[in-house]
Formats: sequence, C-alpha cells, structure tokens
Amino acid sequence: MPVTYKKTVAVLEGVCTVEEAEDLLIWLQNRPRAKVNLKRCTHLHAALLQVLMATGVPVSAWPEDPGLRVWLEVALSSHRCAGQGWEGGGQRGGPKKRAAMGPASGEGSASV
Amino acid sequence: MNPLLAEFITESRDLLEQASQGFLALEKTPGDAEILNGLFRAMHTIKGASGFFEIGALTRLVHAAEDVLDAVRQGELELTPDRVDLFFEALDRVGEWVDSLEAEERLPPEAEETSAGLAGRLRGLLSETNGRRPTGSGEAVAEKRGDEDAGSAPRMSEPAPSWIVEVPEDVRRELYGVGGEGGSRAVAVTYTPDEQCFFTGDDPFHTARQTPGIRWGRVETREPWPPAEELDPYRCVLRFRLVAAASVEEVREWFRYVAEQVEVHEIVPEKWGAPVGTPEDRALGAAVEILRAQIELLAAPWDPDIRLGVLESAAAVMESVLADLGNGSEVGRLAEARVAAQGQGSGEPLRGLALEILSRLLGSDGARQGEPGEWPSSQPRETARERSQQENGASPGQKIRVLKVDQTRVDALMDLVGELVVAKNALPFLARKAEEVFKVRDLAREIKNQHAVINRIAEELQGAVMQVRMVPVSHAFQRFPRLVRDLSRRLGKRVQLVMEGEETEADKNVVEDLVEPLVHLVRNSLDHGIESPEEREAAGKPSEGEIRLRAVQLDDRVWIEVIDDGRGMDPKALKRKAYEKGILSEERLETIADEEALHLIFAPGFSTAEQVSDVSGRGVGLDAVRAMVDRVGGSVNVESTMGRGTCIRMALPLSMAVTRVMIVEVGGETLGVPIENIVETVRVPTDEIHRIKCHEAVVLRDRLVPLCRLVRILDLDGDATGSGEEEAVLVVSIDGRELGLVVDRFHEGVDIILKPLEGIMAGFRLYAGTALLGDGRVLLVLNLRELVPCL
Repeated sequence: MPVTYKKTVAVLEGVCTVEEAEDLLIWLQNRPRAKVNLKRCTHLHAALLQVLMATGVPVSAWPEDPGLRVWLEVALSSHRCAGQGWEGGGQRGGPKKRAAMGPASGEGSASV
Repeated sequence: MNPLLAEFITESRDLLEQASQGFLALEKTPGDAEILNGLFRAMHTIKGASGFFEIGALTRLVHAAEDVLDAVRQGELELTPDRVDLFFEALDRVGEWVDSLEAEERLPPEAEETSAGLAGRLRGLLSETNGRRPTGSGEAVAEKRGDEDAGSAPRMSEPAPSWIVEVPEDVRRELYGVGGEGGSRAVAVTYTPDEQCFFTGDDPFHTARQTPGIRWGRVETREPWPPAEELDPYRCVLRFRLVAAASVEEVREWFRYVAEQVEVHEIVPEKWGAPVGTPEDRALGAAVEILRAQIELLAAPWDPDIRLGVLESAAAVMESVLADLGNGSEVGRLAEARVAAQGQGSGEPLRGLALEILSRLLGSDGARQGEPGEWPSSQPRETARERSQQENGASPGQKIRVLKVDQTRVDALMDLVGELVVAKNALPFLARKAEEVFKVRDLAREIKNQHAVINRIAEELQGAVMQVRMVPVSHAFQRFPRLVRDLSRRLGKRVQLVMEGEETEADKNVVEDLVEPLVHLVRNSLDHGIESPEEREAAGKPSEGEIRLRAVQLDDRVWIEVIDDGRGMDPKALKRKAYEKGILSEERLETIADEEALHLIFAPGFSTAEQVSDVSGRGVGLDAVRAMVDRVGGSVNVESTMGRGTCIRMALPLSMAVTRVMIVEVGGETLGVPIENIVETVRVPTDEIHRIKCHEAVVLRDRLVPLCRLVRILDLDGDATGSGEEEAVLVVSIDGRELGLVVDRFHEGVDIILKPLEGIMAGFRLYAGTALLGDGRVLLVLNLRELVPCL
C-alpha cells in the first residue's frame, strides 16, 4: 500500500502511482485539516503531485529521498504565497531548494 | 510486489503485444516508417523501464532488438520472414521473463544465457547490413528526421527563457565551467506535458526528475488552482522547468516522446552563471535570497505553539538584512509589523513587508538585468501552442473523463444489484399476501405499482453496471494474427486470418475466458482444417486458406465463430475414432446422427489427427473449449461440410451475472432449467408416447425425441408412470441431441443470479447451482449435461 490513510494523516510510501490520485483527492477534500506524511516516499506520480499542490495540504514529514525533497519543498511550500499567480515568476525559491540537485541527477538515467 | 515492477510488467506486456502486431503489420507493408518507429519505440521503452530493475539479461536482449530495428529503420537491413522469426523469438523470451518476473520477481536462471545467445544472433544481423542507402520508405524516415532538425534549429538559437533568472546562484556557479572548451553544455528546458498525458501512462514528474544531467528543477501550475472540489486530478496542468548540464541533443533524446511538449534552450552559464557585479551586488543577492526564505517560512502553516517562535526569528532575520542593506528607514516598519504579527498570531504582516522590500530590491535587480548581453528579455514568451492549451484548459466542456476502476469494486456493485433484483422480486409476493391474507386490495395494488417502478430502476441499474464491465472482444482476438502466422509457417501452410466484429462487446470475464478456447479452436482449424497449399490447389481451392474469427451480438448472446475453408470433418471418421477410443458405445455408433457426431470432437480424450503434431492433437484441447463454454453458461455448435470447411460457433452470454431459467414443477419441487437449452415446451397426449423397449419416446415434427421422466431420475415423489391424459414435455437440446423432459407443470421464466453449489453440495454435479427466488425459496438449477449419463 503506497498510500495509507490514517485519521488525519495520509502516509505516502515508496512509489505512489497515478491510481492513488483520485482517492487521495477525495480523502483530502473530506478532511480540510489533514496532512500528508511523505517520509518514506521515493517518487510520486505527477497526478498526485498535482493534488498535493492544488489542495495545499500541509506536509507533516518531508521525504527522506533528497532528490524528491528538493522538488517537493519548492512545489509545496511556495504555491501558497503565490497569490500573484505562478506566471509572476521570479519571486520564489529559497535556500531549501538550493540543497543541490546533485542527488537527483545521481539517481541514474533510464535512457541507456 | 514493488508497484514500479508491477507497472513495468503490465506496460511491457502491452508493448510486447504492440510490437508483435507491429511485426505482423510490417510483413504486410514492409518498410512502413510509422510501424517501424512504433516498434522501435516499444523496444526502447521496455529497455528504458527495465533499467530500473536488476534484470540485465532482459535489458540487453531488448537493447539488441532495438539496435537492429534502428538499422532496419535506417534502411540498412531488410526484414525477411526469417529475421522476423528471430524477433518473435526474442519477444517471446521477453514475454516469458515478464511472466517470471510477475511470479517470482526475478528472471529464470537460464535467462542470462538465453539473452546472450539471442542478443548475439540479433546483433549478428547487423553484420548482414547491406549498406544500401535508404530506399523508399527509408528515405521518408530520413527526410522526416531532416525536417525535425531543420525545425528545431531556429529554436535553439532563440534566447534563453526569462525564468532562468530564478535559478539559484549556487546552481549557476556550479554550471559555470561545466562547458569546458567544447562550449556550453547547459540547457534550460520547459516541459509542458499534455493535459491528457496521465491517460497514456506518462508520469511527467518522473520524466522531469530523470532528465539527464539535471541540476535544478521546479514544477508549477499552468493555471490558478481551482478549489479542491473542482480539481480534476487526471488533467495535467503542470509545467516543469529545469536546468540540466547536458547537451541539447541529449535532452531532446530524453524527451523525444514528448518532443512537441518540450522547449529546449541552450544556455551559456558564463553569461548568467558568473558571479558578476560588485560586492554590493552580491550582498543584495544574498539579501534577496534570505528574504525569499522568510516569505516562504512565514507562508507555511505552523503549529500554534511554535508559530510565535517562527515569527520572532523571521523578524530578527529581516532586521539584520535591513541593517546589512543600510536601510534604516524600514526598521521602524518592521517593528510595527512584528507587533501586529504577534498580536494576530499570523505571519501575514511580516510577510507583506518582506514582499514589499523584496519587490523593491528586485526592481533594481531587474534594472540591472536589462544590461546588454546579461539577460534575455524578461517578457515571458508564450508560444501559440501554449496559449491555445490554456484556452482549451479554460473551456470546461472538453473534459474527457475516464476512470480506471478496480474490477472488484464493479463486482461488488454487481453483487449488490443482484441482491436488489432478488429483493425486488419479493414485492409481488408481498402484494399477493396483502390481498389474500390481509385482504387489503388497495395496498396490494399500490405495492404492485411500486414494484413496477423499482423493477424498472433495478433493470436499468443492472444494465448500467453490466455496461461498465463490457469490453470489446478484440481483447481476445488480438493475439491471433501472431498465432496464425507462427503456426502456419511452422506447418508449411498458407493461411490468411480474417477478423470480423472485433468491436462487439461482452462481459469482461467472458472475453477473458474466451482466449483459451479460441486458441484451441484456431489451432485445430489450422492443423486439421486447412490443407497444405498443394492439397488445396489439387482440390481447386486457392492455395491460401482462410480462417475467419467472427463475433456477432445476437440479443443477449454473443456468437463467436471460428470458420475455416479447409477440408471439413468426416462424421464417419469421427464416429469410428470415437468408437476406437471407447468414447462411443457400439450401440450409439449405429444410431448417432452425423450432426451429433461432429460434437464428438469435444469429448475428452478425442483426437482425430493420425499423428500427434506439436501444434494440436494431443488429445487435450477441444474438451477444454466445451468446459469453458459450459462454465459461462453458453453453448457450442459445430457445422462442417466435407471439402468446404468447418464452422464452430460458441454462443456465450453477454454477461454472466444474470441467468435466465425456466421454472418447472416436478413432483412438488420447483426446478430451474437454463433457457438456452430449451427448444420448446409441448403437451403430448399420453397415447402418442411410444415405447421402444424400455425407453419412452415421442415423435415431434418427424423427429424421434426420447423422453425422460424427471420424477424418476431425481427420485422424487410423484407419478412416474404417466397416467394422465397428456404430459408436459420440455424439449431440451444437449450438445445437439434433443431430449424430452417430462415434468408436472411449466412455470414462468425468471432472471436469477446463479450461485454455484458450495461445500459438500459442490459434488452434486446434477445441479448447476442455486438461486434465491423472490419469495425466499431456493431454486435448484439443473445441469442438463450431467443429466444425460443418468438416463
């Protein structure tokens, strides 16, 4: 089970696939105060990422996977202050995202 | 199992299937560039995905196949049938390995060796390349590539996109110098995935994360997020921006399947990555970064108990930033904002101030960016495509909604519908009770009215749920082109496969169960039906035989036919064979009709081939066909004309959920008889019943129909002699044989949900199962085929 739903926390683990997106969305819609725990998540499908971004759900634990963490921290913490819209650009990005993309590139490329 | 592996398994199976279809199509239209590209892509995708797992043998084999296909694509190698055979062999091995991955999560031990051998043979083809320049379609490929290059050239020379200014300083610094003497090796990529890409199995986030040489990336939305209730999770509105230390070619190669969704710009880190400017500028840059961090920090939701601390520290940081910048005038405002923030318990006042300061700082920053050679125009560029996508996104009417639902959920729904149907059937009994027992006629009438309403809804509901489970039979048909090709090559026959009505829909389970019997039937037709080309020509037929797979929907049944134009079956030979094998008694041998004899091929242990070939004729097979057809409640029929061909027709229910049975009364018991077996119901005067030795029979429309008294066979209490004036006879057809069942009374036909017998009862083969009637009684449904041996 890549996604486990606890009382107020959805725990995403391992590789979370597109099938989870709708369940997660519905779950989050019904629980405005819920959080997500991404500690053991190594990858989540773009559809899930979208759900997390759109619902603005707070993250109770960030992924241990540094590559993923870099992406998510930027995507999930900045959108709420982006009242001026994403297209405004330029005003975001913090020290966290600078935690170097090195590890992500080291994950190995599938394109042989 | 690791979900990634599970995904790989399903995906690979699909791709392998696609690939074999591609090879088959390629044999018809050799050199078709599109098919070749598709094949190449399929191999490439499997190879790419396999890289995630410890399955080097598989990866290497697919890689070899890909390389050879590339040579074919370049027009350097021709695909002869022999070479296609080699590819098919490779596909089969990969298919087996995928099966083994599913079963044991690892490759079989001999995979390494097999892979090396096959890969070697495949690569051996490369040495056979004729070195000819591409001809015909090959040229088309080359041209197309040329076009692509030409089209992308101007894009490369465009200035880098404006958003790269967001790339943090340290990433720039890192990229600086990556280029070396060969020039820059950094690219900026904007990847705007297609809105429907989730449905094609893409994971844009994964694609983006794995970009070669990625150094920095960000994901954003293309449009403001709707409220969570209106979000469509399966419409992709993300956009990825990345910076990678790689060449344009490498990145294009990586994104080649989504080439039209990606903009790649070569960027020169020297131009934007070098720590330029005066020390003050750099201090300014640092201040900007710090302020941004505070803004993020303040926007994040914090637990109330630590929120004050966060506010405090943010304020302190901002204060020191302001001091650094020598901007004393803001300090007073900061103090105000700090107090306000603490009062409200929210970071908003501080954040507002930080944003304000930041925008002022960036204002001067932006002015600096205008300097020549530093930054490209900061105007966000919007391509026409992007704009149209946004427009599309804005119009609400275009959503395509496809849900992937676990089958168990649909099954659960189906079960509930079944229960609803049974519960609904109780209402007429209730109405009768109201009228007869409680003597309230009005109430009875109203119950009946309500029943009609609920009945209608239940029926519609049932139809709707069944519709969900419907899949086209093409799922079952799709493997046959390959099977027929391989077998006909092996048997040295020439056969054309024609498929008709692939779009006909039937219940998923029916379609899934269809595959195995169809394989047996098609094999059988190929091996026994279709003659060798010489034999055919001698018989005055075209040398190429034809096997036709046809699906037709007829009311609530779907007919699946396997028709060949081969030599047909000889009933006499069948009879003799069956007699020799002990399937047919001597007595039956004399009486059995020719049509009936054809059904002997479905008897267990029957094989007509003189020699057991490796294709079919192992004595198993066709009885499996009948077993499957029985299981889903269908029937199978054979027609054959000597020298002209054979047609085997399976009539299967569209849906297995609801069975229609006729209720008959025998010795005070009610029994159900599946409606598909029933030929007619007749009342026969007692004096028309003939006695032939100890068997009763009746002549109906010039046919002699043996009679069978159910009372006697089932050992029920009742009149077993037939003393009345006439008998109610239910004429049923079992494997082409007609049989008259003598019953006491006919009742109506009902739709039931047939439940198989379980536990101790499972051994009672005489009954196909049970069903709950509306009044709560349990109806036993007869299994007519099992009845015959009891006669």
